Amino acid sequence: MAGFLVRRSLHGAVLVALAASLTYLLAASALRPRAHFEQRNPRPPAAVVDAELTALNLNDRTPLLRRYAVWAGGVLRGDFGRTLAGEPVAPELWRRALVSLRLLAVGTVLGAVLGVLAGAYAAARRHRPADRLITVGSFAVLSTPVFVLAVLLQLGAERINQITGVRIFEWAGEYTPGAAEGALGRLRHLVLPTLTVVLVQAAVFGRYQRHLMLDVLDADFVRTAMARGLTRRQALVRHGLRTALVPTATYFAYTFGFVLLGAMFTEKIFGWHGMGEWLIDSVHRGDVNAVAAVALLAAVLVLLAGAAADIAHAILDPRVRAGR
Amino acid sequence: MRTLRALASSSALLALLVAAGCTVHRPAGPRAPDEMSALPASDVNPTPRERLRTGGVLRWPMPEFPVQWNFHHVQGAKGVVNEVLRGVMPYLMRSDERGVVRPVPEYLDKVEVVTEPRQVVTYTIDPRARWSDGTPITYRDFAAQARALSGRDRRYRVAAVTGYDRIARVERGRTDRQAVVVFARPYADWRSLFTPLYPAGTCGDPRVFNEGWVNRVPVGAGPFRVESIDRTAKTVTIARDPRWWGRPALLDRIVFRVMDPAAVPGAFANGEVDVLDAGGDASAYRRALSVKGAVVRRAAGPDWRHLTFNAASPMLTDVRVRQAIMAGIDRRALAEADLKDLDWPIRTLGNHFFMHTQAGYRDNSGVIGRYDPDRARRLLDAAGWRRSGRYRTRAGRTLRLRFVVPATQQISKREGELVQAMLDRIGVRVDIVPVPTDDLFDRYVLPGNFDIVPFSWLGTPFPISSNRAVFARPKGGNVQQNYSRIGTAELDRAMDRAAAELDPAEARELINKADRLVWEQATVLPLYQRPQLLAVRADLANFGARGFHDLAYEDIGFLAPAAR
Repeated sequence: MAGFLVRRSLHGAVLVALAASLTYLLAASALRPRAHFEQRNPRPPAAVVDAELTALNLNDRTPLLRRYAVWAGGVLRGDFGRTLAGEPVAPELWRRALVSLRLLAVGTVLGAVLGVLAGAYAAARRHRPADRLITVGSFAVLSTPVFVLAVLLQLGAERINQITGVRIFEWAGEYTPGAAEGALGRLRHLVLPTLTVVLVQAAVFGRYQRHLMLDVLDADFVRTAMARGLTRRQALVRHGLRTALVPTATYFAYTFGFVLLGAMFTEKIFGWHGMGEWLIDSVHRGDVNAVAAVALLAAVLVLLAGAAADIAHAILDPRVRAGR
Repeated sequence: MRTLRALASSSALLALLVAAGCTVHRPAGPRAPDEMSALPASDVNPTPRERLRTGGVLRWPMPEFPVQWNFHHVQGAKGVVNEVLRGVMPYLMRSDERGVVRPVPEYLDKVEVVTEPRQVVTYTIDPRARWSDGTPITYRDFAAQARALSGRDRRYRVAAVTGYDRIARVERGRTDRQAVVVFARPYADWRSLFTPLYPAGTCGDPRVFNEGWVNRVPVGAGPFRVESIDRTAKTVTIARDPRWWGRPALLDRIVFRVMDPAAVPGAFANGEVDVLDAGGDASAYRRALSVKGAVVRRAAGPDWRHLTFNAASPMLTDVRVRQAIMAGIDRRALAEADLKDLDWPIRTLGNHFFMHTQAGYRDNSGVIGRYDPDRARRLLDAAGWRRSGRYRTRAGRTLRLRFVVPATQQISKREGELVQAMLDRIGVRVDIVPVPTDDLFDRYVLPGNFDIVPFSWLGTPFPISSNRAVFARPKGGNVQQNYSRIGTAELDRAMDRAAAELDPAEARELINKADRLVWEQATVLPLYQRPQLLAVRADLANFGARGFHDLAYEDIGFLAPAAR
């Protein structure tokens, strides 16, 4: 077992190193941080731009491999370099990752759970009105771009605020700066973004789960369970749903990592400054070190997701536990 | 300071929103009569302080989070930094709405200029003026800043050396409170110098200059002081500073918070921020109009829209062809198309240096800027481009131009389509080339990979200093910001003379002379001065669409209940 873990960790480390290095090389050769300075008016003196870029290890006149060596050496020591604006990358990465986590954790989990329940229920009630309603609802959500959904929610919340005359909903940022509102204020600011994430996540997982559930609905083991005296509902929940959850759990683990990075629109529309926003802004700015750091974190997250998926699999699937 | 406002990608996002079915009701906005004689220079609801209450918080969204707070550092010279620091740092000079710059009495009691035998400016510093750490503001601060920004010491990573490179030395006057600045060469825009002023401790030490203001504002001298910088929520709070010796600030605080432009309209509608820049796109503007308790303040902004022609491109090397293209473009129609939803009077801009609202503005467009397709045809015939079929050809080549537009910008695309249709009438083929918005300058405009490109420049109260790099003749492949890649010795001389002329009236005359030369070479076609539409809470005073007018932050406030 220990050998297996060591092997797996080594394997993972190699993968992370490869993914991060390739991203760095791609970003460093494709992005043009110099343009960030050259577009200014008045344009800064050329010598100053060169000095600043060199200090940030972003100078395109330094050979790519030398820049890579500097960057990689830093990463090995835990130093991810500095952003184009001169801010150390590592602390910013943590700040941003935690912001994303706070923004998305509740919504992602809640959305997945609701989606699984809705999907399972829809499958059990296949072709009845309840199923149809869930299907139409989730397709409506899935076909709406996230930022439109978010703005629609904002418009609705604004309307409610107007009608009641009280500002029930607030959504700009994580909290109101300067206001002594404490945890309650943070919760209030979480409502709309969480709702956005929940809706999207539930729609995706609902669809997925419904199909998985349909596969097991008439499976032999469900019928066997019923033959042993369980009601249909008991058989479906205890045996059917459990089986159908295995792929969902894997899927959830893998999506979670990407949700952290992919929540760009949710973050932008609600004014949270997390990873998604950072990645997209950094690409726009030509911020090589920031892009590389996000890629590195993404690679780590995917590996962790893989491990988490395996564990979930082991818990849900008795054959895995019993087999070895 | 960020000049190229071509990157308003959020407008595309919001346009999409409208298309996706969000109903935005269009209330009857105040229509601007076309015959309105002048564009409003500034609209800030000027109100005497007695009618305002003491207290309140202004919540002001900003587009990005600054890291470097030294405005003179290459990383710090940004519009957002300037917006915050104007409340905190000593900005010794302030422009009025016509772009006329005067000393701020809290910092300077007197400023005297001597021109003969050489330019000497004597600043008499107000005896009350102190840095927030208690140190008096003295000639030493001037001397250190002049030295640091001169460009002579490479260790200072300065944003620009303009003007400072002309200073020979800074001396002590009769007292420490007097700075005598001696120029080696005359400099007309000397009022742009020492604003903001940084303490000698910063400018005297390259390490402090480069690193001492990263994520902090260690010292200030203004009506506000920086209270907190929150790097997680990306907010900067400045609070009234009791040590300020001038009129105390009316507001308790100003909270600057970073927000994506796409997020601001919603936050503004819900009363979570007090300011919304509604000039960028029509849907934000309409949303702002519908917000209860808010008004849209409107003034002619300092930035101007234009088309730049690449005179180094084979099709456009001949000045007659460039003049023909200009004559074939109906500038008014372009301005109408761009501005039609913004309730803004349509006025084409006739000057490359001065804006309509600026002292010295004159319409120099003359014959060259007039829409005249017949003249265009004659010029093209004379240049040897003859009609054969739909388009003109010469020596077997068709006269076709690449009109480069950033792909996410509807406004540029529309301009391209209009120009395409207009030039088609005179037999010139225009191909619209959409390019990734981030690549526009980097890969197309800077290397000269275009024929025509539309974007905006930012006007300043110092037209020669800020435009010299745009129109100066390229030297040895260094085009600076002259994306037309052409110039003349005569124009360079005209700009140099204007830059050295210390009499303001005479300088304006010389700048207009330079402008006529720019018109003649037909490289940059000004379209219009962009409107500044700022939605704010209706009871906010001494704040709004400011045009060239620099705000006195201590006077910003909310109306007292009785005065409402």
